[in-house]
Amino acid sequence: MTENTDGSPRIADAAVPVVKKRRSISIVWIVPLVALLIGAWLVYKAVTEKGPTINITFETAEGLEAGKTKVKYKDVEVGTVQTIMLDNELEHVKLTVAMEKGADVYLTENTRFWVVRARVAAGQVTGLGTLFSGAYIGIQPSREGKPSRHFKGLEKPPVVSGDVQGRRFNLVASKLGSLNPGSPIYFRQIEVGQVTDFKLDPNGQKVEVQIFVEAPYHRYVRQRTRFWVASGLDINLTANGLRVDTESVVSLLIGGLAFSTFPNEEPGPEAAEDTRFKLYDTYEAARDDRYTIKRDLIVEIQDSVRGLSIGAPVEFRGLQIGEVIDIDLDADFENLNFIVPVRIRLEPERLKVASPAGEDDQLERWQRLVDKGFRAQLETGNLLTGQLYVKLDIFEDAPPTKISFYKGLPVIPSVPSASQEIMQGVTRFVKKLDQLPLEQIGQDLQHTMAGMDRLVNGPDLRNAIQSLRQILSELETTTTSLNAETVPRINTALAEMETVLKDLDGWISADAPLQGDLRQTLEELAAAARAVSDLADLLERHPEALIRGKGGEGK
Amino acid sequence: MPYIACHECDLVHRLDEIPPGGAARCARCGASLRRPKRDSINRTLALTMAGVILFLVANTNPFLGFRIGVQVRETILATGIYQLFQQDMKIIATLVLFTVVIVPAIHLLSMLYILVPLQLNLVPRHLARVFRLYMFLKPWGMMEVFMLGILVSIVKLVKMATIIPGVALYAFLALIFVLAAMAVTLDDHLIWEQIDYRR
Repeated sequence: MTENTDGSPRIADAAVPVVKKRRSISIVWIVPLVALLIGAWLVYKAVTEKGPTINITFETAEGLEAGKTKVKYKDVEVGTVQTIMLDNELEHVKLTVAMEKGADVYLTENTRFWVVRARVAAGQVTGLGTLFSGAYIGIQPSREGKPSRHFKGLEKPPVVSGDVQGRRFNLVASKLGSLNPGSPIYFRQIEVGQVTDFKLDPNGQKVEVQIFVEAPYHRYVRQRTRFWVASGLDINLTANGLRVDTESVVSLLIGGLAFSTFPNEEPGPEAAEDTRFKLYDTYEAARDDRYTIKRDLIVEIQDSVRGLSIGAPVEFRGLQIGEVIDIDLDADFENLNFIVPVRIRLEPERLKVASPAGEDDQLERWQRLVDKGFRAQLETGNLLTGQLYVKLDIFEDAPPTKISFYKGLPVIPSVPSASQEIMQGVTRFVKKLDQLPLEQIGQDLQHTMAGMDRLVNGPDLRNAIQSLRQILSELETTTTSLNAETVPRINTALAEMETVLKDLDGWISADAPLQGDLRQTLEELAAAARAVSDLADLLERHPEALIRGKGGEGK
Repeated sequence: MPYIACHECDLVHRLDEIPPGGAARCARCGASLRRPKRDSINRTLALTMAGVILFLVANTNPFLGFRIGVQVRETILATGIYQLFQQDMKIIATLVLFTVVIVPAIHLLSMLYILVPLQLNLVPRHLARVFRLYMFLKPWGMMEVFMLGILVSIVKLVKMATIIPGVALYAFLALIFVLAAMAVTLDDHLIWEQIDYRR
């Protein structure tokens, strides 16, 4: 290389500088850096703001839309439905829901989800807003329980939202009646809660009704509190006239429950959450079920039990002390004997027993009662309907019997019912009447009548009457003469008798001479008697005096 | 020593080193022959990188949200296209997909394919083919048209619904500028020259 390309003179031995390529970072790289920062920030935000993803299964996805349907709590969005899919069995729909950040804390096994749609139920209209906005998913968050990501959605929205204070209870009923979720619950006719749900128990025997009583009223639900169905009207015809009771007009339409703790009873402590109570059909049933001790007995009835129904009262002297719980028919084909064992359940607590007997004394006590004539009897309670009830009473003249046992239960002997007795008496009477020789009697009677007729209309009677008349006229003459002659004499005789009586009175009066004479005579008689007595005495001692005289005594 | 023909009048020039910032013009008709760009590969690569990031952001984030009453509808670019497809506007949907998503994606990817090796003083295989594809598809990138369409519809929809612009919208806007900047900084002669030099 002798010259440079531009032909400038060349300096020999000049050092060639080390040209270093500038490896500085161009300012342009700020652009991707900024983009990267923004991107990273977005990613970071997306990751940190992403809440948990959960699965909810529903029966149907009606009104739900992926990417659009929100999950709302108190009308605040807390999540969005991402996908809606059918499950493998094509039975349910599976929703994937992206929840907001921070939802973890309230997504527990107790958290509930349901679809909010327009709904008309139990007198309430809810979710009207969803007609315009579309359905959304409601959530009832719960912080208690294990965290969960898989939920089963409710088909019906819970009646009571989770933020209402109060207590849940379970009622066991034999039938649902007109109850529905949302049916009100009354305490002293104040609405204090609602029916939240109901379900059949696994055996299909009972209905379990779940209720919610709001604070502060839940404190009035005690262990001895009783619930009853307050639907409908309670019409009472009493001596005071007609009385109509109902908890409220609303309960009349949609059904309702009421509860109370009855007076004269220890209410017990406050009932805990989920306590089970029995649900009574009527207020009366609830009121009367305060007796916890039940005693089953058998009453053997020989009569027909037509008109006796299960639940019929058992009364003692007009007071209900129990009810009929079962009626059987027992056939003994060897003796062709049919007996109806009626099972009754007594509530002994209804009797104010001075000294409650122990379990062992019971039998002995029953035996004493039966000895005294304690018997059961069927009685007609209602003449119109012919409803029977079991009457227990003491029949003094009942024949003594021993208490027997039927399937381990003591049997109270029965006596025929009063009406039965009357009927039997009437039957007997009619039978006897039937046996009377009525024809014979009639004929005899006819004979007699004919004879009588002859006698009455015959000449004898006429003669007899005539002679009677004659006798009477003679009697009249006699009487007249008697009046004229005899009566004055009698008057004279009476006057004389009066004089005689007066004299007699004078003789026997105290100061009459006759009296004094009589007294003197008596005194002398007494002296004579004394002398005789002395003589007898002397003779007894000295019998010889009779011969020797009194002088001999002196010797 | 490279020669260059004027693409207007076909006069052949001998092209010498052009000083930075300078431009070579045709001696006869004055048409611009060459305007070397400073630090072209480096700058374009930087912009491409930014473009890739913006492209990803624009395609994964909510693009637009509409609120009508209590109902909120949020879309990303892909769901918008999917909706068009669903509503039986398949040609438009395809067109949008092609001009707004596919072409810019190929654009950015081909640039990366070319520029990353060049930055490392290597020549990628099939450079000519890839670069020709790039040049061919360049007119089909119509993001700015799409953007205008979006703006028009927003103006029209504003009265009916509340529009919630999403992050993707801004990313998209930025991407348009980045792509424009790429076109500015890219010296295509330089790319072609690379093939020559490094063969």
